[in-house]
Formats: sequence, C-alpha cells, structure tokens
Amino acid sequence: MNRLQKIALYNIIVMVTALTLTVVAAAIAAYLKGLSAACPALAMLGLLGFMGLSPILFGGKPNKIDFDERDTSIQIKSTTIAYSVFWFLWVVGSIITWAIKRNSGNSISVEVLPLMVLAGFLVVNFVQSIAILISYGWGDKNVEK
Amino acid sequence: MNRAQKWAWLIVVLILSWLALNIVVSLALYPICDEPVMFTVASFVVIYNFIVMPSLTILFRETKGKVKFDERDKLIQKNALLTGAIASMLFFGLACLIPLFILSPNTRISIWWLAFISGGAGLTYFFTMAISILVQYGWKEKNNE
Repeated sequence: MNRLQKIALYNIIVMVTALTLTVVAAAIAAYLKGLSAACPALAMLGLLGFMGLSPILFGGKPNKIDFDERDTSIQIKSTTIAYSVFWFLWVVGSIITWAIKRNSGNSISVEVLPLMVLAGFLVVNFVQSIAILISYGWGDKNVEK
Repeated sequence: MNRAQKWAWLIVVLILSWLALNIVVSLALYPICDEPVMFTVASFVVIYNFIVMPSLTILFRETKGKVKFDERDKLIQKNALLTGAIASMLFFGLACLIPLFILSPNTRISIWWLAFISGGAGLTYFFTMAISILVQYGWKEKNNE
C-alpha cells in the first residue's frame, strides 16, 4: 500500500468513525432529552480534524521517490470524480429542497448553509478516497513505494 | 490563435457581456419589477445556454484530418480545469458562509439562493478556466495555431 492509499484509507476510517459517533450521540441525546437536544451532538464532527494529521502520519520519506506520473494521474482523476459527484449531489439537493419548500415560505435558515459546506467537504473527501482505493485496487500490494 | 484560445475568448466575452447586460436590465427594471434580478438571470441563462452557446460551438467545430492537440495543450487544459474547479469551490464556500456573517443566525434566506450558488459556481468555473487558458497560452500569442 503506498502513501496515497494509506491517506485515503485513513480518511475513510476517520470520516466513518466521526459520522457514526455523531449519529449515536444525536440518537442518545434525542432519546433522553428530546429532538432539540440532539444539535450539540454535531460537535462530534470535530473529530474530522484528525484528517489533518494524515500528512504527518504518512509523510514522505527523504531521499525516496514515492510519487510518479501514474500516481499523479490517479490523484487528478479521483479529484475530478469527487468534484463531479459533489456538484451532481448539490444540484439534485437544491432541486429537492426547492420542491419541498416551495409551498412553505420558499425559504431556508442561513444556519443550514455552513452545514452544506461541511457536507460538501465530506462528500468530496469520501468519494476521492474511495476513487483512489478503487483506482489502485483495494488490496493491491504491488504499488508499494 | 488555436481552438482552445478562441473558446476561452468566447467565454470571457460572453460572461462579461452577460454580466453587463444583467446589471443594466436589472437597474432598468428595478422600479417596475419585484424581482428583476431573478428575471434577468433566468432570461439570459436561457438565451446563452440554449441559443448562443450551441450556435457558437457549431461555428468553432473541429476540422477533420489535422492534428490540433498535443501534450502541451493537454497539460494547459488540465491546469485550467483544476483552476476552474478550485475557483468554483471557493465561490461555493464564500456564498454559503458570507450570508451567515452578514445576517443574524435566525434569519431565513430565499430558496433561490441555492440556484444562485449553482449558477454562480458554474459561471466562476468557466470564466476562471477561460482566463487560465488565455494566461497560459499568452493573451495574444499567435504561435499556438
């Protein structure tokens, strides 16, 4: 497994863990204190900050070439796929929101907008990581650098 | 001037003329129309996307039997695509976060804001990509034919 694969796998693990803990915390809070108490559970998403540690945890080794044209190509392709998926979901989400809200005031809270940025960040990183792992092959050990 | 440069110039001129027309029509309609901005945005998007763009794409169609695209062009296109993608994501982030800082947290915002973000991000993408192509080839470079 090369550096890019390790980072992708690490990011997926962090995202899945953070989302699972958020859902569990929200469910427990909602069960104990009602639905309005579930919002603070979003603080668990702060665990996504661990994704920022990937360059330190999987840093490049000095005096060793660990990135060639194939890796660059895979990285660009996975990034393109991630952003394409994100924009597709964004447009579909906008249309669905419009369809739901058009008969009830035609407006949304401004507090929803930053959550959309967070959701976009998650979608892009998740799809990019999956695309990287698929491009290399999930268990392929021959790409070790 | 090669095909990519011609396309880039076309996009720059179209978007700038569209913006200028939009501002003029919006200001002219403002006293008599409730939502002149939305009206002009919708009308010009329809005009440019369904009438002007397809017509000009036909005008700039490729001629057969001639190699017009090499590795350098491919690299320039790739860089331009990435620049456009980054700029559109920057626009998306700003368009989602700025309303929260300007308006109070409990304010509600029109659902049309979502459509504005989609359209604005699309325009930002194409405009930045076109500018990037022109910058990389050189604005008036004639040796790229």
